[in-house]
Amino acid sequence: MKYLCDEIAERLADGAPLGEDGETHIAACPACARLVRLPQLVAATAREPEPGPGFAARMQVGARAEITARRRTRVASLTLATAAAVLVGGVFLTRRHDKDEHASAMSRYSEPQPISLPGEHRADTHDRNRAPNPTASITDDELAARLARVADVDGALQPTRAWHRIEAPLAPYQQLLVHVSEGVH
Amino acid sequence: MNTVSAADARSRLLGELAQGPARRGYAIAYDLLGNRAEAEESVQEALARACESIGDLRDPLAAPAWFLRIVTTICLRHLRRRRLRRALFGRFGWTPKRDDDDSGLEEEPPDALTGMTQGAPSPLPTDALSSREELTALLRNLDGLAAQQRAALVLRYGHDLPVPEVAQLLGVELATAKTHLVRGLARLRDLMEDHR
Repeated sequence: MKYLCDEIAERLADGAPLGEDGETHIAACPACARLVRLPQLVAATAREPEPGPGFAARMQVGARAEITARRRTRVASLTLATAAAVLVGGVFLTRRHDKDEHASAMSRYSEPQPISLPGEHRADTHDRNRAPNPTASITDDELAARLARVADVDGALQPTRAWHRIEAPLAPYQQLLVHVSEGVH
Repeated sequence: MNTVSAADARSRLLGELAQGPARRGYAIAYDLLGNRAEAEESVQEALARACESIGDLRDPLAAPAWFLRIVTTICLRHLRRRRLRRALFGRFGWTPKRDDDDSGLEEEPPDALTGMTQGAPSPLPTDALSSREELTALLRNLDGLAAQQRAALVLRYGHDLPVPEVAQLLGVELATAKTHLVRGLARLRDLMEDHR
């Protein structure tokens, strides 16, 4: 029974005649009887609309306007996409440049600085090939003041900062503290 | 030089399509969308697309069929958007404005007897067929079908196109077009039954 119902639906789709077995089945099957009415009903809803005067001219004008609008949209999209790509590229390059500068600054400050404390005598100060150490004769207070100037103290007072940038110049100060604490003990 | 010839070819194609195939495209679009303004809009868009992608067309003789396929594709997109909009309206309980309420019932359904041009598998009582209420219900229920099922039914029975041509216009395989027809008929029958 189910097989015949499917068969009838397929015959309807193909437009093939239902045949004697199909007619017999439709008489007995209300679902199929309703189904065979549908193609005629759908056909009855089809309209032959008169497009109205000047249809061809109207369509041509409308299509030309549509082509222009689409072209304009395409150009605008392309321009926007290019601008966005340039912006992203610019930001990327700028950030990379900043990072390189920061890395070189870090390496400058993080390399071990010879710090001489009052009364301390370092062997390498006798090396004549090296330039005299400018910090050799300064006091602790002067050294601390100099380090404080080097450090971004104002920036450190901000609630949110890039701490690695603030901490990098303070590396020598940290070294000084280590020296002092080692000297004390 | 090439630009000029391409523009000429585009202009010539536009003229040719607007004279003949555009009318047929309009009839298809009108039956699928049930709205004159949307049908004209779809035809214009299809003309524009056809002119833009004229380079894709290898055989100039195939231009009308190719154009009708573009029209059908645009109508399918319209139908899908309409279903989506209706689903959204239903979900959030909004009442669509008159402009948005494109239920495919811009005009009264035609007299059933004048539309009865297609071959019927079996004779049916004409009084039942001419029931305008039934036709109105059918138009409403056609909106409940998936876009491709609706298009398949309208093209097959409303425009009396053979299944291979329906498949070509829908851009699907023959078997898929048949499936759309069979499932569309079954779904429409269920919807009509619910309506009663």
